Amino acid sequence: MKRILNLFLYELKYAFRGIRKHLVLSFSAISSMAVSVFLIGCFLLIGIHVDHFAANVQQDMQIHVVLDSNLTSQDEIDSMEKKIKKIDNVETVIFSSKDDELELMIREKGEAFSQYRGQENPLSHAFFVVVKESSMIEETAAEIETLEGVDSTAFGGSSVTELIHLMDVVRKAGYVLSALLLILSLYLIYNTIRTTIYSRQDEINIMRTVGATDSFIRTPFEVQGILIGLLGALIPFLLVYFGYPILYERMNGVLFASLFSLIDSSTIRYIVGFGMLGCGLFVGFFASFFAVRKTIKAKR
Amino acid sequence: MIELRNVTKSYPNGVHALNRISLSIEDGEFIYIIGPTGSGKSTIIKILNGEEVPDSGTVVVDGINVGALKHRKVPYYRRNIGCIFQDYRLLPKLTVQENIAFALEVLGISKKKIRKRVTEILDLVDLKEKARAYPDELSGGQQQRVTIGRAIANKPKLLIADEPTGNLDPEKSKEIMELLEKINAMGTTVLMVTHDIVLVEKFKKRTVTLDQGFVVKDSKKGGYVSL
Ligand SMILES: Nc1ncnc2c1ncn2[C@@H]1O[C@H](COP(=O)(O)OP(=O)(O)OP(=O)(O)O)[C@@H](O)[C@H]1O
Ligand SMILES: [Mg+2]
Repeated sequence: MKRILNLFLYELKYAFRGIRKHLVLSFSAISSMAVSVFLIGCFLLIGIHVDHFAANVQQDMQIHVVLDSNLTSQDEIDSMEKKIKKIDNVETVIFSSKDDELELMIREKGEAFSQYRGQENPLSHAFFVVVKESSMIEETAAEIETLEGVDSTAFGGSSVTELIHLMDVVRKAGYVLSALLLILSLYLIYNTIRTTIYSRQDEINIMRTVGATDSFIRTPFEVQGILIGLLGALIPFLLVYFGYPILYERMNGVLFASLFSLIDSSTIRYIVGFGMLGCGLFVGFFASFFAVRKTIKAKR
Repeated sequence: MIELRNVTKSYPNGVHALNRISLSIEDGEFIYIIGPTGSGKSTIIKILNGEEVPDSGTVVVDGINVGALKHRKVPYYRRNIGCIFQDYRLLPKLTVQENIAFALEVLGISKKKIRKRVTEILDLVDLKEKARAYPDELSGGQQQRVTIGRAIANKPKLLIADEPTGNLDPEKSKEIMELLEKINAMGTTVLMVTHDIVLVEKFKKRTVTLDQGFVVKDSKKGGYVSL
């Protein structure tokens, strides 16, 4: 057991030496790695925010169903509510009396409408319908409109859905780019490790002739790759870890409108920060693992 | 300790380096292998340390069939034999003491023990003042002594040496010979390839003479007798 620990410490020592001896190569690999991981982190940040916005918007998406003005009795209202509830995509139905409607109108359009308070209220009763699937809201609204006794329907946020749609496209593009960057950084470290191995092929043969096992020879290169990956990820990690909270403060926690609330710092630090570190570790390990296995061809 | 039976080796370029070599070496022996250049001396060394595999015949060292060793097992086998190479094979980016330590690090020995052993070795091969020098800062003879130090660091049962005095002046050669004799006296079997007839005459041992890959003489009486 002690022996294995000793072996590992020696391997670690040679890994650090490897980085030191190939400082320029290692440094350029680390900095390119940092850029890639930073971009991946940004795409991840955008991605989880789009999900978050979509969830927020989904909550706010409801259809305003205005009934015919001659529809006034409680029985008629109840049966209307039942009919709407039967529609597939309908989650909940909330009644809004014509007085409620007027208050909403006054709040939205101004005090000028307050003169209609009381007997002169010209508005009709209405429902607010929350849908299950916001992308189907248009179809659901149309279906409700065909019901007898419904005067008109309206749903807020067709522009919002379009925006969400756009962000979804951005997110998907981000994931594709992330995947490409991941492959790029894998190749980068793979190539770095391969180059150091090639430049040290003679040494590798000598090591074997004095009793070094293959794993003793390989491990330093693998550790070197992991270190490059991790050090590369550390820079963007720190940027996000300390930068995001500042960004969050500056924007008062929202993007443009309160509908688009930003995700709190600790969640972002956790998901994006550790996601990036994990990414560096993963890339460093696999790239060097394959580089070592493909390149080290020790003589007997 | 060493048993070569009908060992034949030819290189891909068609050179027959060894032809049906049979040789038996006892535990604790000190033996020279001499012969003109290109006679196959280094090839015997390479076959003994497992670097080259014979085309036919068997090589058994300390009960291990070297030619049949799996690639993975070869390093473990090498830990029991010290090898002094004609071309030194020092790690260029490690200092003298690190080169010697390396052969012990691969065994997983603790740092403290390694430091102690390296100091002993540096003393033995007289390289204390060069401990922190890199191989390319050393003379040929100094590099040769580093190789010797590295080979004996792990107190091997068998020491095979390819021209260990090749780059040394007579005075230093004598010192190395005395060192090898000392190691031999402590129980290590020593097989030494050399060109140096003066040495062979002076330190009389069993001498095997090779020519064009054949054993042409094996004198247990010692001394070099010209053909
Ligand atoms: N790797 C190789 N590939 C092809 N031929 C080789 C190789 N190594 C040695 N030879 C040839 O095999 C023959 C024996 O070589 P070897 O190195 O064993 O000779 P040697 O007795 O050690 O010579 P020297 O005294 O010059 O060191 C020589 O003819 C040499 O050219
Ligand atoms: Mg030779």
